[in-house]
Amino acid sequence: MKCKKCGNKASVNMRQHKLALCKEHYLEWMPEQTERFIKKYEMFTHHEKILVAVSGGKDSLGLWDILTRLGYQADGLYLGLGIDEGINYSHESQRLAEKFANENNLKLHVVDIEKEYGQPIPVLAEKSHRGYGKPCAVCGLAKRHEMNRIARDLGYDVLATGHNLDDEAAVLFGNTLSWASEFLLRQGPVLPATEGLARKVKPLCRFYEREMTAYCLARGIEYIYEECPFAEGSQSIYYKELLNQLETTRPGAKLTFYLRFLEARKAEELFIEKNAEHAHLHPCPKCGQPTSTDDLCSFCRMIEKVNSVTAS
Amino acid sequence: MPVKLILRGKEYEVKPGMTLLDSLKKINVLSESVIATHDGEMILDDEILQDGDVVKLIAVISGGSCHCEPERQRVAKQSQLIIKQEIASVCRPRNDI
Repeated sequence: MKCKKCGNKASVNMRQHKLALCKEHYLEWMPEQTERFIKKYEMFTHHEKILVAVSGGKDSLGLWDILTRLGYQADGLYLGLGIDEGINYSHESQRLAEKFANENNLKLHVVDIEKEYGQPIPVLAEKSHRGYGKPCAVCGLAKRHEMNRIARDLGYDVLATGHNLDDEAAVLFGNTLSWASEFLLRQGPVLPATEGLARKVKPLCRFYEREMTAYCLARGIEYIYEECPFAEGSQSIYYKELLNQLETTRPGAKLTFYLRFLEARKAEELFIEKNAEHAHLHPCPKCGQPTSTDDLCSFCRMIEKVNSVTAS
Repeated sequence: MPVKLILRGKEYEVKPGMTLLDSLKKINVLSESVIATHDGEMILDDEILQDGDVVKLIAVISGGSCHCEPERQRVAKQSQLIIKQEIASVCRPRNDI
């Protein structure tokens, strides 16, 4: 497969865009697209201070790298969660976040949950009896709380997270399965600032997870490969696998699922029944059945077309 | 010699002469869920795998199968080492292309 821009051997193929690129052109394409999404969804400007939530994973480090390459004022925030589980997970992810910051001369704020609140996340979860034996609910709650606190306390205009399209599609899929309308109406690339809550943005929301992996590989960004040990067997990973099966046979299915949702939400089409009286229906001049078109109804037009083709 | 595919510390063997896509199908891995590298280069589904090729598969979905504690430690260490080597390899400047 050849690079669409230069004809050299391609390294990344994005079937949903019918676009294959070599490594060099892929590394140009990613920031260009990110800038396009930042502007399209009005996430932030070059005059604003951005706090990037950095976990040491491919998405957040990739995001920080892209924003820096684009010339944004982006500092990082690493939250020490105190998760070990035999693989030194938090320690290793902090090391990689700090390594990236040092190598790129970037500012990284480190907040340790145990130092701030006396206990690491797994203990907070155990003692608070939240989350049905898994610390994920407490972890999410603590992360949202702390990210917002630091963003506000340190005067950042916006908080950016590394959610990619697979993350967003998995959440959307889960919320659709249970018709969680309240959550569906809240999901999007930008969560505007409200009283006491910083603006939250997801600049990577239109990139597939594999595109972020390819980006980090091609840029030489060392990230933590293992996911949080508590994420094993999680529902979101299961949904991602299901959606990837769909994507394999129908390239672009994940992207369409998410984008059509955003369009419907923006147009306020979600959960609002269209009023038939406002649809301006009138009788078809030929068959008399109601139609929204100005002339013949779709059926009569189809029959006319068939008749004209048959006659010629 | 067979083609070796490595994913999360696990090795699979397939016959040479197949495309990467067909090889992934053989071992029941979705192409959508991995990035494949060979000799420090990312390769695509249409790449024909030759005798003795070693293809490293980087999982793109975070997380994965459950392991018991010692197995998890072993796989985590090995996987982090592989990703570090692949990153160093894929991103190095090349004169031969």
